[in-house]
Amino acid sequence: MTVSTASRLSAIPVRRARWDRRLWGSVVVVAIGWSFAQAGADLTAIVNRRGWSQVTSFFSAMFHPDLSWSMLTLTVREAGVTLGYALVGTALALVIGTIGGVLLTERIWQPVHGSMRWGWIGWMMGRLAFAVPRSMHEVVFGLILVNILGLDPLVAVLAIGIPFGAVTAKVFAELIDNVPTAAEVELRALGAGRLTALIVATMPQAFNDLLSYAFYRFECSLRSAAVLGIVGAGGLGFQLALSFQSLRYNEMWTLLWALIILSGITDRWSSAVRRRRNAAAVEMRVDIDGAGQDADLAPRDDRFVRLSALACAVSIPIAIWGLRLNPATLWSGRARRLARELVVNAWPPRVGLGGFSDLLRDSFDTVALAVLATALAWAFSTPVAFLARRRISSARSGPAVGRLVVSSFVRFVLLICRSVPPPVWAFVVVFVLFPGLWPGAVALAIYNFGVLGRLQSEVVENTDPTSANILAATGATRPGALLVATVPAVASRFAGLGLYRWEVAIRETVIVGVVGAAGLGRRLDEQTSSFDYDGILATILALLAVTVMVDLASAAIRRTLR
Amino acid sequence: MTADPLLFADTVLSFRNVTVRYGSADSAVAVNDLTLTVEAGQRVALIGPSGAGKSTILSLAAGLTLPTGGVVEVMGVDSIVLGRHAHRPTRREIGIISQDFSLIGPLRVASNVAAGRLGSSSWLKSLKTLVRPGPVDEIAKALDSVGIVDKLWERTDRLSGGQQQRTAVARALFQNPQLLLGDEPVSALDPARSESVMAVLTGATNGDADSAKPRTLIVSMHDAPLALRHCDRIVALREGCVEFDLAASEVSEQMLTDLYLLDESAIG
Repeated sequence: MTVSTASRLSAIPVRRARWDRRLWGSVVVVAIGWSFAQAGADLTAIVNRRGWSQVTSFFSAMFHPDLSWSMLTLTVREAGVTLGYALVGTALALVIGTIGGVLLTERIWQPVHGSMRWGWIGWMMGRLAFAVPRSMHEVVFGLILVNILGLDPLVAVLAIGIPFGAVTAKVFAELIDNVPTAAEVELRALGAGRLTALIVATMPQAFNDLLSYAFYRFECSLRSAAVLGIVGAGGLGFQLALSFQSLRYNEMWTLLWALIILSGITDRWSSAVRRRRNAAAVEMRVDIDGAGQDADLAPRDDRFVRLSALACAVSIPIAIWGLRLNPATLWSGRARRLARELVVNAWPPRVGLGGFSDLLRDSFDTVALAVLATALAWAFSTPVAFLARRRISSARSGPAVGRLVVSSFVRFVLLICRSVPPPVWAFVVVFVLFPGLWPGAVALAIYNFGVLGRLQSEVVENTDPTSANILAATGATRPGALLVATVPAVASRFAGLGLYRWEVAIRETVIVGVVGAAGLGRRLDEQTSSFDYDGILATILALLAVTVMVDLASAAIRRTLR
Repeated sequence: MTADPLLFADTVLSFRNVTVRYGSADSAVAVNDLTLTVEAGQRVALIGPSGAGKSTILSLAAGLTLPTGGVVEVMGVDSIVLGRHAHRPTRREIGIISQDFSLIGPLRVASNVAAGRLGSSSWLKSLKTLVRPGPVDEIAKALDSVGIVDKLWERTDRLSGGQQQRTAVARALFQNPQLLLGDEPVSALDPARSESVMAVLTGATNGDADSAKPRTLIVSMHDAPLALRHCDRIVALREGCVEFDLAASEVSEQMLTDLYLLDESAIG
């Protein structure tokens, strides 16, 4: 290459390091190291070899589910109940989540120029208000609501809708905040109001992510509805618990396969909706992209998306009718009396035996448990996400059949990992791991591996493949182009998803507490079985404090990702 | 194959009766039965109104689009097999400046420029591009020739559109390919900057003293006068067909006016 003789090379600038990233990167590494130390790294003290035969018989039952007529009719009926809970619960969660999501964005509290000033107080209050329901797992809600409403299907719907609404609000807020501000700032400079600018400029850009999350949330609701069955809400979970108590693995797998199939259908449905949404976006950058080669990318009639929306709208009233949901139960005299009694019994909170030092230790254990689970899950799901991506991004990416086989298999494994509820994983893991932090961490890691792998592969699929295609077209190898172009493009969102799952894992520690995992979950389990209401309140408050701190740390790290 | 085909291929690009249809409907024809040959060392400008097929031709030449009909040969290789690993040596001689720049936003400018040479490194070695792009002095030289060496360590998605386009140009210059394809390579630049970047691009095709390989430049351009000043062959396109294919000196003002004239009958 010749540079014209007139121009002398200007001074080469000095490279500046991103110190905030390095700092937070080290914090994360130290946190993971500390969690390992907390859990103990001596394998002989962790692994219980004698339990392998139980694990083997559990997994071999996978291929021999109980297919008797009575079991099948029971499964179908209970699956209907679980599906109903999930549908109505998700609908409630999305209503709460959309309104809350807008309120929780940083940008809605921010003036066009400068910092948030007083706005951050509003933002903080909003986040705190949503952190309370979010810090409690659906099962905790279920336990409380059962005491007020009795064994009413409303318990399951509210136990899903309220905390999931709060989680959805937070995730929606972050997805919206991840959209570059440029378009919105421009509109606001032109005089548009904050809400208008957000809705017009930012929401359309975030829409695919929001839609994808809504469908994913429905899947979560489905599995949560199963977990809630253990509390006595009915449905697949309740039958699962009954079968497990008598170690009838074949029956368990009939129910688990039903869950896997239900989840799988939702998964496919969600991908189909998303792909059609994307088609419109891709259409706009037809050109050197090599358009017209991938049939999936061709602009398509939006009828499928419309029909999906219609199906949801129709099935929710049907589910409400089918479950015999009656909102009037909420303000019946009996519910009010029981709610009053619960408050009287629980107040004031009591730390109980062991005092604050025990509560503090359990809180630290909970954090370590969540860090371990997330780190393990993320470490495995990150490479797997690239294998799981379905849409082949370029016209020239090698043998398509081989790719399809690999991605289908990986997706199936991910589906099983997240369809089997974490308490079931915990019971299986505890066959081979001695009680302590590890069984809970591994159980949550398996479950979160399934969840993260799916979310991450969606990020990969939603990434613009053009940069990678151009590099490949100029001679880079496929893996080389993927590493240099696609990995940096998804890195910050992968990290963000990891942080988000860490926050969820904190809550999920509650449901693996039952297998003697350490932390606040076990404490809550013990207190629940002894009706120690003031103790339960103290534990919930500790859980709340931990969640808020994790939330703040996560937000701080996330800021450096942008 | 006994000799390096690249050294003996005087014809860099050959289109024989190439047709490209987008979608299954035969209504959307981007390129219609087009035959075109580009010799080594030529500086070709593709001009014509929007939708004339300029970008599609470049995409075909880059091996990013496959023809619906006809044959596309790039440096003696049929573009259908250009995706194969064995043809990496050919692909690394194709430089692309795409219309939307196709840069990697979260990476620094230096890494984006360094990515131009991924064609000659193993995928494991390409990891280094992310952490410590090099050789820094050559990357800086490429950036300096388009006037943005001060952005060397900036995050690419923080740059303005014009700066991003120049980064894409610098990546192609750093790659130093035999065939340089530019889809509106100066569309985001002001007139003075457009002139200088075009001069750098055509300068790059003049060839170094130490290299015997003649370089070829094919650019699509909206700005016909700019194309006339910098390129020696003008291929005018309209609705996927060649309207005229002349040396820059032979193109008259009237021809350009006619080319961009709205086709009344088509509107009606």
